[in-house]
Amino acid sequence: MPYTAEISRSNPTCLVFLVDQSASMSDAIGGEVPTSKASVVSDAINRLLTELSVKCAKEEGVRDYFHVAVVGYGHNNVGSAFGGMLAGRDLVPLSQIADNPARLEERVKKVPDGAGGLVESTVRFPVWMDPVSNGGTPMRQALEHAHRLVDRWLGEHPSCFPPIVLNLTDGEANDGDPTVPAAGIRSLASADGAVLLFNLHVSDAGGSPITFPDTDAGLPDSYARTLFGMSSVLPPHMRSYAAQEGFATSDGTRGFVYNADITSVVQFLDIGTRATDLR
Amino acid sequence: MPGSVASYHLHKGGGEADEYEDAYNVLPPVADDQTDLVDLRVALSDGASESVLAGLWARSLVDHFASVALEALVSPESFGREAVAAATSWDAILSGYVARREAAGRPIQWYEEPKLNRGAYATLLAVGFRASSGGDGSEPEDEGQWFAAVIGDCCLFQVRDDSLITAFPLTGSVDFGVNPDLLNSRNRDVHLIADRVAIRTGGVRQQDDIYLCTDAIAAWFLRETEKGSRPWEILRDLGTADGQDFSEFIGEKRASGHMRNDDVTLIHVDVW
Repeated sequence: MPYTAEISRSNPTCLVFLVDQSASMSDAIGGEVPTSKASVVSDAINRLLTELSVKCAKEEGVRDYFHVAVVGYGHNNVGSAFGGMLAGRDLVPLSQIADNPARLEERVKKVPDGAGGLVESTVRFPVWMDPVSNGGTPMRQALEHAHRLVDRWLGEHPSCFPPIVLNLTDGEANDGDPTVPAAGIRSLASADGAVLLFNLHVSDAGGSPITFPDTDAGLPDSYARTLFGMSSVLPPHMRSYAAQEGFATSDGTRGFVYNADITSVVQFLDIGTRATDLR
Repeated sequence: MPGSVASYHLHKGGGEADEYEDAYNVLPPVADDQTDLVDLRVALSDGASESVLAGLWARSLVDHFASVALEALVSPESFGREAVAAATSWDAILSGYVARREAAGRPIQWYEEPKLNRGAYATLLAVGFRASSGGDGSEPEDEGQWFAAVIGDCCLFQVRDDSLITAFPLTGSVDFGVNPDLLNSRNRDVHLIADRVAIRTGGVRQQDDIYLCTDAIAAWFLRETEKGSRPWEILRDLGTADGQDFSEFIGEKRASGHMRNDDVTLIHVDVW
């Protein structure tokens, strides 16, 4: 049965995050406090890497269940978007990512005080990348770059849980049709199933946030519909997790999110018994 | 009620022995040969792999529950109070751990903080035995009774006359997953724990075999039983002249895909 391979240090898998850093990402979207699309995606990357690191943390450090690349595309080229010590690197073992954020910010957060109230607490917030918006949108090149990374990984790890490529973008590719390299990525496979391509679309086109839809009928524009069409159908166990998170799912549910939080994909990944409270 | 108790464990394949996060305790401590099963207490716990300090919490739970009064395995409220007592003592254990890390020049890292704040998680199966007495509801043939309380997917299997007569709390191999009920080291809700604990009692007779298993081997056991096999024959003979070495047996089952790669613990109570 596909998508059942163990994810472990002896059988790790890889995640490739593609980050749109083109000029159009400087446009602001949404809410009472408008935020640039570039800030939205860099924040999403920092939270994804945080969630992954915490998920895989044990007493001795973070376990290398995943190797992760963060690839930026904009300013007419494609390359590593890591800052700090990891700058210039592509696939990096998760333990090295956890130990080498570009900086650790301290933020005040309100947390439950255990007696029904909230109390302010200082938490450390790691940052690996800052917002960047500059130049064109070579999404096709970025997808081809991801294809090469994943193809090389599969050659070295043929039995791994299928790698996941997550593309965070406003969808305005200007180096050709991205659907062709997207299909190329989805055609790659390990012994455990086809590589998964997910998309987070950040847009100033308005409309309601949409998470894991099974149709493009409610999407606001052609960019969204193109990205939906490029996205893989979620495997059954991921659909189950999405349903547990409260999202409506069907056999056609895709790994696509429009102007909403994508961090929940980290919870789609099984590395062992989950730490959940009695209910 | 003469018998013997044997325990076996193995860490997850691909990991190190000190990464084993199951824990068990048997009191009073038993020798290799004959022991009196009356007043025996056995506790078995499986630390959740996604939590930190899961092995330490599992150890804390089994040490606590191997010493509780039998009432805690009969009354859900009493079980809940004991679980909260174990959780209350956890704070000192955690403080000691953080201090040791500081002293060793390895302070708590940012990625550990959220998990430490959420607490550690583990399943728990606690089992007690006593001799039968008139009016305790046991059958005339019973020499004694067992009492079991469980949160999560550690299992008790009882075999009599070459048949599985009890599978508790899970009864089918499809019942296992990655979201078992877990005791959390911050949980102080006696009523919630009492509501979720599963409790069962059974009779003990001569020649019975009782197996206490963490989830991976329990799932294998039930799957084999569903196929019409007698997996208890393999477990019964472990370490004997006719049987396999435990590590070899687990290694074979993992390699063939018949057992999930996980920490594995088995305790065999053999009633003579």
